Formats: sequence, structure tokens, C-alpha cells
Amino acid sequence: MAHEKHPSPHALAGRRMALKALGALGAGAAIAQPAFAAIAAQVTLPFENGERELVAFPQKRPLILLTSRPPQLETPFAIFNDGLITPNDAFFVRYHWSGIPTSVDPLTYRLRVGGKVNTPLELSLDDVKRLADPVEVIAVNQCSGNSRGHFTPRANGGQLSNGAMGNARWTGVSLKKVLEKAGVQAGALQATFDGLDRPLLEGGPDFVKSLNIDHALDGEVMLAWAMNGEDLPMLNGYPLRLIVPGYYGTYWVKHLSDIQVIDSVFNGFWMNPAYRIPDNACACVEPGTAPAKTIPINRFNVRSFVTSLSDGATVAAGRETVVRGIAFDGGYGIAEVAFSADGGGSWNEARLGKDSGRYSFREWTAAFRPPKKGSYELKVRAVNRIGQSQPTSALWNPAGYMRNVVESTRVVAA
Amino acid sequence: MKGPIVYATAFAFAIAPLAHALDIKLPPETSIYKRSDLPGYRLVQQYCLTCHAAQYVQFQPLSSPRGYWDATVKKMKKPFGAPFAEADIPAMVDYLVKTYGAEQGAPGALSIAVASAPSVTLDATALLAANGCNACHAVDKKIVGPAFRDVAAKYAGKPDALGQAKQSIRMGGAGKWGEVPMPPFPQLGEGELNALAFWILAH
Repeated sequence: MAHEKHPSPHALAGRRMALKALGALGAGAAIAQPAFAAIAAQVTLPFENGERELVAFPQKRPLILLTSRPPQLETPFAIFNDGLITPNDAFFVRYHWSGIPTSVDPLTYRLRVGGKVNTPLELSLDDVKRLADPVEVIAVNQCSGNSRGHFTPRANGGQLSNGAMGNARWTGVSLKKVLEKAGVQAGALQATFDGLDRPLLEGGPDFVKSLNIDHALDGEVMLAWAMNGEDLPMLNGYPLRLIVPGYYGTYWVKHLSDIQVIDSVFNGFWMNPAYRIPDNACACVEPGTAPAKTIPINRFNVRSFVTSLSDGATVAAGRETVVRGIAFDGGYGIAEVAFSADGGGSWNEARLGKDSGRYSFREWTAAFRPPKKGSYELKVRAVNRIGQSQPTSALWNPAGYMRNVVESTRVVAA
Repeated sequence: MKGPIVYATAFAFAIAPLAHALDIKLPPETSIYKRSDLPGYRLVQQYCLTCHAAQYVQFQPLSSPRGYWDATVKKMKKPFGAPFAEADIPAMVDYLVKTYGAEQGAPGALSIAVASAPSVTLDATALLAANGCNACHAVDKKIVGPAFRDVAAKYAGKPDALGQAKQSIRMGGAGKWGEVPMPPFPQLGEGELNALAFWILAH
């Protein structure tokens, strides 16, 4: 069952995951196993009903299988310690409908731009690539429901741990240049974005998202054809996807095929009622209650993680261990990361690594010298450049979005 | 003079990949709904599996209350367009909450499900014993029929290994492994065939 790209058992045993080799599974568990040839191992995510298989999908190494149809795959957390860029073959996958493209011919693919524009466009991939000078950004993409499985009380929806996020270098053309070529008419309010994925049933609401026109024209939103210097993998949106730096992944429409400029606020199912958050500063409500008013989910809040040590890891007592991790926010940039080795009793400033731009993961390191044997609760908390930080106890909303509590990692000094 | 040449080379490389379509083949889907005699089981298999894998249901919190399943089934009908009748909704909700949600182990649900579906967990080793497979097969050696390990090796890497293995169990046959025929097992359901085929192919 070994896979060429299979991470070592040590690496897989990453953050809060227990790894079991396939051979250790009871026969009864076999019913839930996907294609035997693709099964690499099983992990248990740290919440009830969190048993998952690691399965290799096309152009992907074995990833945590949330659903087979449509494919939804989560990145094993240990991979975030391998580097600040998440490899294409480890990048998470999220779809809404089973009608996903499995074959795309870049010669016949077209992107249409229409609606309230002076000149409707029908662009080939080559046209898109030649439309203006290519631009690049290193940006985090994160699922709105990343970490939903950790909600208490539990929230229904995709039961994800912390791996529905990734950081990549995106290459493409600015959406502003594309819209300028079409000529946005006066009175335009929003642009809508549709991809090649489709509902299987007549009448099911197609996955279409919208952005306000001034956001669409801000020069940062882009149409990317490359991810970390290579074509997008099919399951991450080949041949072209929308990149909305700092915004949740729901806006990053894959297999982008149609842009419409409209003079109203788009109210399709995937903008309303789906992907809404409470309309207040914390995007939260009292657990178990419903918000009085909602708005579309938008920018990431601030998050930070330890990546070099997983829950239950052992470190040397009396010796210094350099603890490493990542922090990111919705695009203001990380200003400061604080590290605590005593469960939040005292905090020290961590050292920030190279700045790859305000939309990227930012590495941090902190020295940890456990004075004596015993258990230690490590905590990490980031602050961005406008002073936003992370709550010490978790906020709650009904859809299980935007978790960003100060994370804890328990380790043992021996 | 080097500039234009380098540019032309880079240009050719940049355009060359466009000549090929990108095709992928998704791995076979294998999660299944737990068997039950609750009337909703058949409806869930018929309708829910049309559009999505069973993991959408299987991985929800075990505490998910009846209200969640009710709202979700209704959402699947409207606006998502699932073609079941309004009248089918209560039975589907009842199966889902008693099999995957907060009413698991509720007196009614459990006795019905277990009494008539002893293989509700689809334990492959129990299925092997119940169907007499062990009389002719072992994991690591040929008895009358081939070792399961050899069966797994024969199908390894084949695109539809699971489907072929299930078909062989269901239909039986002779000639592939020798002249002694294997009897067909037409009484096995889809879930049981899946469980057996997985178990065998994993060896």
C-alpha cells in the first residue's frame, strides 16, 4: 500500500492525528474504504466521528478524504511544516456539485465576459495570457468552513480539521485589465463569476459568486492560470480560477468560464442564504442561536498555528527547542506573533520570518526551553497591522465558519 | 542577438502545453449507506446517491438532531432539485437520524435495523464466514479456489478492479483460476459485495 509520494508515518502523525496503517484496520472498517489501490492510510481527526482515509486523487498525493463525489480533500496538517508554500499536489479541494469537469481542452476553452459592458468578450486561454502583463501574488486560500469539526457545540456541514487552507504563488492577469478591456458601463454594481462545474439536476442552483464592482476593479483580484509555477491542477480549477486575496475560498471560482457585470446585487443561492455570517464585529452569536441579520462572508480573520510540534509530541527537558509555525490574516499583514509555553500565563514575542507579502503565510519561530520534565501547553496568538487578533475562547456561528481561536498544542518534556 | 532567440524558445515552451487536453479519472467511489429495514433506507439509496457520496451523511456529528436532517432533506428537494416526493421526506429523515444522527440506538430503530439486517456493519470477515467462502479460499494459500492474496494481485492496478471483483463474486464462474467453478452469490446486496471485494482486494 506504500505510495511513492506517501509522507513518512512520522510526518503523517502530524498535528493531533493518530495514524493507523491499513493493515491495522478491522475488516469491518473496509466497507468505507475507497478504491483499494488509492488507499494510503487512515487518520483520526481530533473530534468525534473524525475517522478519515487518506486517498490519492489525480494530480494529488494521498490527502484526507472528506467526500468522494464531488471530491473534497483536506491537507494533512504536518505538510504545513514542510515550507510556507503548500505544494500543488497537497493543496485542499472543495466542490459544491458533482458535475465537475474531468477533461478540459485548453484550445477550445473560452472565458466569456458580458453583461453591463461595452464590448462582450470571448477569450481563449491564450487570449487571457496575452491580455496584459502577468501578475503574481503569494496568497492563502482558506475554506470558510476550515476547522468546522472543532466547533463546540458542533456545527453541521463539512467536518474539517485545520487543513482546508493552503498558501501558493498564483500567476495570472489582473481582473481589472480584463474588465477594462470589456469596458464596464456606468451603473455597474457587481460582477458574477461562474465556472465549468454544474449541478447534476435540472433546477439546482449553479455555483455562482459575486463581488462588488469596486472590489473586482481593485487591481488585486486576478484570474490565475498557474499555481506555484505550474498549470493549476484540475481539482484546483484548471485552466483558470479567480484569485481573491484575503477572502475566503468560496469566492475563488474554479474553471472560471463566465463573468457578468450587473447593475444589481446578485442574490443567487451561494450568496444568499449560503455563505452568510452574522452581521456583527465578531461574526458570532451565542452558541445554538441564530443571527438576526447576516452578510456575505468576506475577509479572513487572524489565525496562527504551531506546525513543528503536534499534540502529544515529546521535547527534551532542560534543552532549547525552536518551535515554528505560521500566521496569516485577511491581507493587512501580520505585525506580531506571541508564544506562550505555559497555557497563556505568560507570553513572549516570537521572531517573524521572511515577509512574502501581506496575503501569504508568515513564518514565526520561538525558543522553548522546558525547565523540567512534565507537560506543557503551547499557545500562539497573532496580531495584524490594524490590531486585529485572535480570541482566547472560540467564537460560534451556526454555519461553522471563520474559526480563529488561539490554538493550543500540548507537548511533553522528557 | 541572443535576446530574441531566447525569447522565441521560451515562447515555444509556453505555448506547447496547450496542445493537450487535461484529463483526469477520479478514483471509484465506495462509501455506502448503512443497511436498514427502515423504509427510508431504500429512498436514501435511490435519491441521495444520485448526486453525492454517502460521506456527506456519514461524517456529520453523531449528535445531529432530527431538525437538522429534516431541514437538510428539504433543502435537497428545494432549491437543490432532488426528485423525491414530499411524502417521502419523513421516512428519509427517520432513517438518517436513527442511523447517523442523534437517535442512533433509539429502541425502534435499533431493533428493526439489527433484527433483519445482521450484517448492518458489513463486517467482511463475518460475510466470508456466513457465505461459506472460507471453505474454498484462504488469505495466503490456494485451497480449492485461489488465495485472496493472489486475487488481489491479479486485480491490482486495474482501472475497475472493484467492479470486476464484485461481478466475479456475484456471478461466479470457471476458467480464470482453474476448472473448478465458483458458485454465484446472487443473494448478496451491493453493500455486501462492496465489503467483500474491498476486503479481498486489500490483501
